[in-house]
Amino acid sequence: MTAHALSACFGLGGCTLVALFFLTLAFRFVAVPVWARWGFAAVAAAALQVPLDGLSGAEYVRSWTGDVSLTLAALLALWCWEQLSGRRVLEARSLTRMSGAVLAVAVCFYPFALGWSMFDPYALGYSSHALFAGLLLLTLAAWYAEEHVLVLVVTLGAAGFVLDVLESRNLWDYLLDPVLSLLALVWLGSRLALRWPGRSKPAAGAAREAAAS
Amino acid sequence: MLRHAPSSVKAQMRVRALLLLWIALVFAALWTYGMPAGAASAGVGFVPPAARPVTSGEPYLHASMLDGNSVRSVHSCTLVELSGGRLRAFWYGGSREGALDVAIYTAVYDPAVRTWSRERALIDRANSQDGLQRCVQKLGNSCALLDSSGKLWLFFVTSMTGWSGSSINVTTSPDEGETWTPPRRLVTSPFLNLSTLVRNPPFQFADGTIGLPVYHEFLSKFCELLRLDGDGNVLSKQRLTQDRLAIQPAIVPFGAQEAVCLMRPTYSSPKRVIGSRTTDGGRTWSAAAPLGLTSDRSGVAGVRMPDGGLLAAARVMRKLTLSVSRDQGTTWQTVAHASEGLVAEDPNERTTYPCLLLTKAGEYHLVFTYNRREIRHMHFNQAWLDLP
Repeated sequence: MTAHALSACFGLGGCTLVALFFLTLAFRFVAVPVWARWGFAAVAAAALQVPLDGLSGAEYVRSWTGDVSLTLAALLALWCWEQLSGRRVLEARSLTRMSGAVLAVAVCFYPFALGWSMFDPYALGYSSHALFAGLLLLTLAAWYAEEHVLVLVVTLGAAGFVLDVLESRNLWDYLLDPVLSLLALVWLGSRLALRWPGRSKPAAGAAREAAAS
Repeated sequence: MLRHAPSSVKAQMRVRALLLLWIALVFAALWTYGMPAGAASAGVGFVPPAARPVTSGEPYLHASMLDGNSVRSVHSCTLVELSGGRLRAFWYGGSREGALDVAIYTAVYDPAVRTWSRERALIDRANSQDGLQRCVQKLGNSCALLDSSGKLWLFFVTSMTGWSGSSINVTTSPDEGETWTPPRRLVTSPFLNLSTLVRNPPFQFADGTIGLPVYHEFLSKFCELLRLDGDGNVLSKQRLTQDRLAIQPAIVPFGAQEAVCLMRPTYSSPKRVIGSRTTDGGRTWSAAAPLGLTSDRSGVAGVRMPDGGLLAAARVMRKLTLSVSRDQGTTWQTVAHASEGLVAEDPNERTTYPCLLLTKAGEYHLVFTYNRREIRHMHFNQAWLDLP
């Protein structure tokens, strides 16, 4: 498989997951049998690859988002699995911690990368042992704190970078992207809204929290 | 955390040990293979400009328009020298800037007979979408390089929205522009890969890697220099300016360690060309600052002259002007207006986006957009420049 075909495969795969994420959100609110969920997801994933006027749905998503990070793709894959199978994979507390970490990095990263000063952290992603070392420390800290999902998604991103599976040759693009940052913000916002004084937890959310504890 | 089916402490410890082993494997691979060869070496030095003959004899200026002009609006022409002294030009044109019918055109100039071939549409929306596997709404600026192996590189901009949403694409030709590879996207920005554009020509570093001057327009405006390997992969990126000071950098190597960067001032900058210099092969660049060359905040092009001077084309008081600096850009002297010798002058002319080239034979070529309707070309020698 050529590098171009490999990056197209992973790039379009990630964009398909972004679309499936939004399409399967409804399953959180509507009771649908598991077999129907899987059937819907399979048809939707296939339909996203069918060209319409020269471009497929996944390619239209890619036109706007570019290749999403492997971190986001892995999380979306776990999320979709959860929505389709009805089995819990991701723990709310873990997602909250991970969202906090993503937002903290994004808030420090994007202003500088988009020209706030002469320092460009994005340039480090092309070739910097310092960035590799920083990422290793973060991963070991996550392992120590038993944040195993974070460990998995970060190491998947790093492994993808070594194997050049996306168009980018920059490590940052395998770990972080604006869609991931936005979803992290939405998740944290929703958790804060739930904890707002006077708000009671929705029954489903409370049940999940109870099951998680 | 992941929910683990095995509840025993022993099983959990086994999972954690496996995870630790996985971390060790991934980071060992990252440390060993994650750094492409040559990626870390900044300041690799420039290819010293080859000695060019100072064209002697009678001064001459041959002015022409690029043949064809089958479309209403044309803009942003760039030149590259091919084998045998021929030139290939690339520009974009269509019913208007940003229209869906805009394509990148090309034509070849034969200096022996001083004529341009008919224009040929090279890249349009349809074939760029096919290659890039993305929706393309606009095609824009391009720039080209014939590398030392004879491969012709064409970098061009496409966008889904305005120009600040642009991305850079690359295609190459093994036969100097007759056939081309499918275009490929360069990823140069972390925010949806938005807003990196090209304008002025790339160059080769001493180690064979390619230097591509680019600029950014989303939220802030600044200039950067990309370094690409022989397969077109980005190896490194260097920021040249900040604070909306300048866009459209043009890099002019002067020696193995020295180069000057000329940049177009933005609307928040003084009306002077912005400059920066390196004396360590591109490892560091001086703080960008306005030079002594006035500019209407329009595009600027530069080339090193055979006698060591720096020739620049910039729009001054609505006239595209050729100026020479003998001190690598600090002070300037106007030598000619590009409109001289051209026919059918328009009192409201808009001459923009110059591209300057000095050929191996020591002849100068200047192309620029004239009123967005024509690409004009001036072919002249040193003696014409030296006219009082």
